Amino acid sequence: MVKLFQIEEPDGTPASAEGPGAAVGIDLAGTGGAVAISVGGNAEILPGSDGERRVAAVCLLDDGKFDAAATVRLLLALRARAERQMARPVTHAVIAVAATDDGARGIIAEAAEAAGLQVMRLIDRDEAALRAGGVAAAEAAALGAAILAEDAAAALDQRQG
Amino acid sequence: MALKQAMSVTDQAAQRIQALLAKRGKPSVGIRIGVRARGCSGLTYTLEYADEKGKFDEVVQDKGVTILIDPKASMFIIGTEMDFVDDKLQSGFTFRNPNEKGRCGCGESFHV
Repeated sequence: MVKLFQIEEPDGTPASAEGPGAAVGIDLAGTGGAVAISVGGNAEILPGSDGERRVAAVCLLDDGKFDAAATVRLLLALRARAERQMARPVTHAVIAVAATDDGARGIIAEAAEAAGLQVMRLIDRDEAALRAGGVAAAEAAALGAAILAEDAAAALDQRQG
Repeated sequence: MALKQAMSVTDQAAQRIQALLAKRGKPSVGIRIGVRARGCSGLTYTLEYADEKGKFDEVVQDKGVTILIDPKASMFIIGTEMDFVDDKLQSGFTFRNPNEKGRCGCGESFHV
C-alpha cells in the first residue's frame, strides 16, 4: 500500500477525523495489538506513524486476567492509528482475542465501550485467522477480524438502508 | 519572468489543503513541507500546518496555497508535485518527486 501523508499539527496533536465512521478489525493479545481495515475482502494492517504494525502493551495482570485500564489505552491507541491512516472516524470493531473465559470477554467489551468502539463481534483469534486465509500468522487475526468487520458493516448498512 | 517553482500541487491537493486550513480553526500561513531521515533507507516527507513562516523557509505559492519548504529539505524536494488521493481504503497526500532514485519495499522512505 502506498503511504499517504496527512497534514500534522506542528506540536504533534492529532488532527480531527471527519466523515462516516469505519469498522475495523482488532487483534488483542496479552502483549499488545494490531488494527486492520478491509475493503472488498482485501485487508491491510494499519501501521502507526513510525511504521510499526503492532502496538506493544502489557494487558494481562499477574493472574492472567485482562487489565481493564491497559486494554482501554491499547484500544484507544489502535483506534487513533486507524483514524490517522484513514482520515475518518473509527466507530466499530470486530475484536479477536485468545480463547478466554466470559470474565475476560466482559472486561474487553467494557474497555471497548470506554475507548469509543462499538464491538460488532468478539471472537477467538484462531477463528479470525481462518477468515484471513493463509497469511502470516502474526497478522492473520487482525486481518481476519477486519474482513469480518467489513461483512458485518455491510449487513448493518443493508438493514438500515 | 517567473522563477521555476521549487515544487507544485495538483488541483485536488490545493482544494483539500484549503479545506483543511479552513477547518483547522487556527490562523495559518499555509503548510510546511520537509524531509527527515527514517525508514529502512533514506528519507521521508514531513507535512505540517504552518503557524508562521520560519526565517529561512522557501515560499512557494501555487493554486492559491502557500507552501513553506524547510531549507534543509529544498534540495531533496525540488521539482516535486504534491497530489491528494481519496479512495475507499484511505485518503491523503502523495509526493511525486523526480529526484527519487528508489523507495524501500514498504513505501515508507525514499532515497535520492
